[in-house]
Amino acid sequence: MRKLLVVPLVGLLLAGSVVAQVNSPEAAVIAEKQVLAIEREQVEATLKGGSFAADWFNRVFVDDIAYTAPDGAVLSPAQLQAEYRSGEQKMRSAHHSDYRVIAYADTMVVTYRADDVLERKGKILSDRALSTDVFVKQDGRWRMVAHQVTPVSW
Amino acid sequence: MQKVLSMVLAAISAVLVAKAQEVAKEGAATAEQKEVLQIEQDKLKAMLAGGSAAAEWFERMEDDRLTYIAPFRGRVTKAQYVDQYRSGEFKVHASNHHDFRVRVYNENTAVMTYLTHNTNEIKGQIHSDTDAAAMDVFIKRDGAWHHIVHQVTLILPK
Repeated sequence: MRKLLVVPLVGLLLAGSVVAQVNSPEAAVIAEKQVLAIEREQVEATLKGGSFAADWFNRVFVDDIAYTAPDGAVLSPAQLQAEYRSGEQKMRSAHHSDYRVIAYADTMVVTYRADDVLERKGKILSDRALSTDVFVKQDGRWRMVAHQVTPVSW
Repeated sequence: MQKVLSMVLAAISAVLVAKAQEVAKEGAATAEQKEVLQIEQDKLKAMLAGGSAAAEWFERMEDDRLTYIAPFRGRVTKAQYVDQYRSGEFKVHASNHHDFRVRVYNENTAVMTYLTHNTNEIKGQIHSDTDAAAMDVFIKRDGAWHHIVHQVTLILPK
């Protein structure tokens, strides 16, 4: 009987420590590393393009991601994946720098400078831009819930 | 002047009711969605009131680490944003926000997107923005929503 009581108690204590860790500075450092790794993957995936990129988006983006392209087009994940799969959208080159990460418990905000050359529907969009990606933790992994690109001069 | 302001605020309220209906189109708006839309309504009032009223509202609602990115201005800090209202350097004369969509994750993170067309005065010069796509992100902390991201992207003609 005593054994039966101890098991749930240990479970509760562990759950408590996980919550505490999520809000600790150490957890923020780990989370920062995790989302920056996803950012690196994103650059690789978009440069590879086609189905590789589409599958990556499918894995990392939530189904209703708020996705705004540099031309102000608001795309659904299905549209974005279809454009990559069909070759309608291609990343010709991508140079991301000056990453800034802000941790809010289980929400992470990443901004960076993007010097990209993107081909979309036959048009070349080669603006320098500031991009923001927002991640939330779902089922123990980071999912991107928002991506917005704003062309700016610097 | 007061009459004009009342009319503007009444118009905003009517628009925001329509926005709530837009958000709820695919089902009833959740409590979180309604709370975030209410903040949007308050923000519009503050922006149109301008000056210290706007500065104080943004001072209260925005997270100190706010991420603010706008065309032509790049990254703007919370302090810069608040100061431009307080000094009168930045004024909003008209604001048309529409096509709202609010997504809520883990009950504590809200992403709001909408289309916007503003007429602003910056350092005495009137600027009428072209249409733009905007995003606001909020997190709930200690029972209250805090604004953590604002980003605007101009919509290029097709």
